[in-house]
Amino acid sequence: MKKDFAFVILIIFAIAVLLTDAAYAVYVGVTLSAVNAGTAFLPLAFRSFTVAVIAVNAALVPVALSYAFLRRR
Amino acid sequence: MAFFKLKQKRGGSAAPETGDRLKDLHAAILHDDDVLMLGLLTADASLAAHAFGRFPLLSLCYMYRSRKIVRKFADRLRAHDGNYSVSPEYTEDYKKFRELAGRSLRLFREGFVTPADMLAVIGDAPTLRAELGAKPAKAQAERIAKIYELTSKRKVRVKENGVSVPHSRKMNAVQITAIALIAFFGLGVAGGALGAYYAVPAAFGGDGSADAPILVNNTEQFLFAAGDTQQRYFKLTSDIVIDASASDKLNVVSDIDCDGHTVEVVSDGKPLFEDISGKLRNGVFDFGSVNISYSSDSALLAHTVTGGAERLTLKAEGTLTDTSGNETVYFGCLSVENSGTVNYVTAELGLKVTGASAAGESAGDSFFAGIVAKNSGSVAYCSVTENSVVELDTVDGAGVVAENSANGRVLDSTNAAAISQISSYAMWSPNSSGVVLNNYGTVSNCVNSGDVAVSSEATKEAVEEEMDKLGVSGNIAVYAGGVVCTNYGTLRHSKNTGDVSAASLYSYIYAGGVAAANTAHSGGSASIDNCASLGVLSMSCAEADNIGEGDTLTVFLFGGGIAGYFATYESYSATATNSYSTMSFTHSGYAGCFAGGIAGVQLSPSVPVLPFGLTDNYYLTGSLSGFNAGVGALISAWDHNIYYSSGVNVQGGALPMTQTQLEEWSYYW
Repeated sequence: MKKDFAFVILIIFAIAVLLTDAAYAVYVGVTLSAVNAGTAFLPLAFRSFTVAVIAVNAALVPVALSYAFLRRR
Repeated sequence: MAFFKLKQKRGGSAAPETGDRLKDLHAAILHDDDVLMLGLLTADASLAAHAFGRFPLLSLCYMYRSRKIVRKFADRLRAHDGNYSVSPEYTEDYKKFRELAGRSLRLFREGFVTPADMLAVIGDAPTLRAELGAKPAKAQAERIAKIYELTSKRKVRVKENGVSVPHSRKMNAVQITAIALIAFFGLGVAGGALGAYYAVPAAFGGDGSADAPILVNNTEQFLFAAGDTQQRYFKLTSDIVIDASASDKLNVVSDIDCDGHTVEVVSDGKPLFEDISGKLRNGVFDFGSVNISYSSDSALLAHTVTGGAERLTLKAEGTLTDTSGNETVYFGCLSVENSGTVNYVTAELGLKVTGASAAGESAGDSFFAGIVAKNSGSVAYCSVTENSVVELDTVDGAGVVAENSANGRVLDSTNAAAISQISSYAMWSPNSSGVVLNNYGTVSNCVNSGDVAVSSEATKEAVEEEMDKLGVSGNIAVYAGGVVCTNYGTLRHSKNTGDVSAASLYSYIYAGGVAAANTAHSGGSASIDNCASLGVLSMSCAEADNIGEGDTLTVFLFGGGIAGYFATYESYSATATNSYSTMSFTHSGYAGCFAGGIAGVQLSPSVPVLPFGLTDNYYLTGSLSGFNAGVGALISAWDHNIYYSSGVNVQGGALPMTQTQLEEWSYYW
């Protein structure tokens, strides 16, 4: 039986994004804790990391919608 | 409608009666009741080959998606090779099938709707592929392809070994839910991260760029900023207190804007920062009352400035004690050394500085400066405030810079502090001045308005005894200058308005309104240009005053309105040009006291008697009287020290113009 590889890829991508988000959440939590404690400041890469996370998550939406569109065409 | 007619022709429109096993059979399929189905098939195995009208049981199971029954009984339901016992169709079966079949309904006018047919109708491709097997009959394959095409509008290819059924384009509930969750999750996290992109830097002060400095809210963060290695921008948001002992060797590589806040420093005797290679600006560093002992070069704020210190205010009062022994040490309130830029630094000082020789033992040189001890960079627009007081003993000092090296620049800086030095050690020659102590570089546009008072309390007996003990000979000397103490470099467009006094019991005195001494050296000429001195110059020496009849004069006092002492070195000159003085002179005695309106004494091996290098200088107060003016080689022999570049010596002649006229003639101060 043939698999729906597009859906599998979509799910894998979603899981990868989920892991990225989890890592980002940990990063933000640790960084803000250190900043509050006065032992660190926001690293220069904070905004770069955030933009990357935004981009990856934003990409998830069109990817998912594209899959749905292709399935229904 | 055609199907309905077919159904009517086959007879029976009524549903099976209540309690009938066929009715139960239909109900079991409708409700996917596998237990009831098992009971029915156990009771009568032939029911497996039953069909309601044109719908065999398995077809109905597929249509009603009776998954449990299909999973458990599919093999039994299809194990009869198409030989069905038929009972009347249910109306709802027909209606549902008609809805599902759509355009393919016309294909079912005759015969049964086989399970494969039903799977094609409902578009369940995976189950259909399994139902058809590897090699379906060609006729069946073509029929299936047609049904599929009419219902799903998708091409089904008929091959020799079967049909190629495309995947269903219809998403199931899991897929739809997954996609919705993924899209929602992606949007949610992206939105949250977008908020973090703006909110977090706003709450915690930006990312450290010049446009978005990181906000520093407390002491811990300030120390962290001072030790930051990423060259970022920080801004202090509140006054803080720093215990300097909590930090060690902080190198400021970033840009820290104190934004006018006060940093109260509890000093541990060492500089708060090791180096400022970045920039520290716009803050008040209040060291409060200090009691610091230092045995090597030291400072209050930073050991070195290689970057920038800008618009800072230093506040300190108390005592500094040099315990270095024979080492030469420097102490600067801002920094020991500056090779960068120090701009707009203000010092409010009330310090008493004690040298290592104060106890009466020979020790190394010791230097103090209100701002930078050793400058090889730029010090500009700095000041020591009027209410400041600096008291020195065996430490030589100046208000702004102690030693300005050949490439150092001290510009537009002022000293208004009262600077006094009283040395009691017999072998110490005290040197002090208002702005710069020793200048090898450039001093320009500087003003001293503070009083400078330098004295030696060493008696003749103590000096002679100490010299005998150390096996040396000569004299000690007191140096007091208004702007610079000893100028070896370029001193221009600077002014002294404070009083300068020099006193001793038994030592030479060199005192000058602008500089105590203007001395060429092996590194080049010394020049004073476009400078002015006002105020009072006082000199006194007990030994000279008390000299008796027939005694040999052993000490001399030299005072000049511009400089007390001029000395050339080999081919290098010591010049003063385009300067004027209005200083008045006081002295405690007559013997050995030489004063000149411009220069006290000029020593020049090549030109021993002429005021060599003194050009266009004006002393505007008038004739000096009461001074010893009888030594021919001394400039002080000329009352007015007026000398024209044309070469016409008009010493003692009429004044060419008034001070007002000179000031209006913008060539002068």
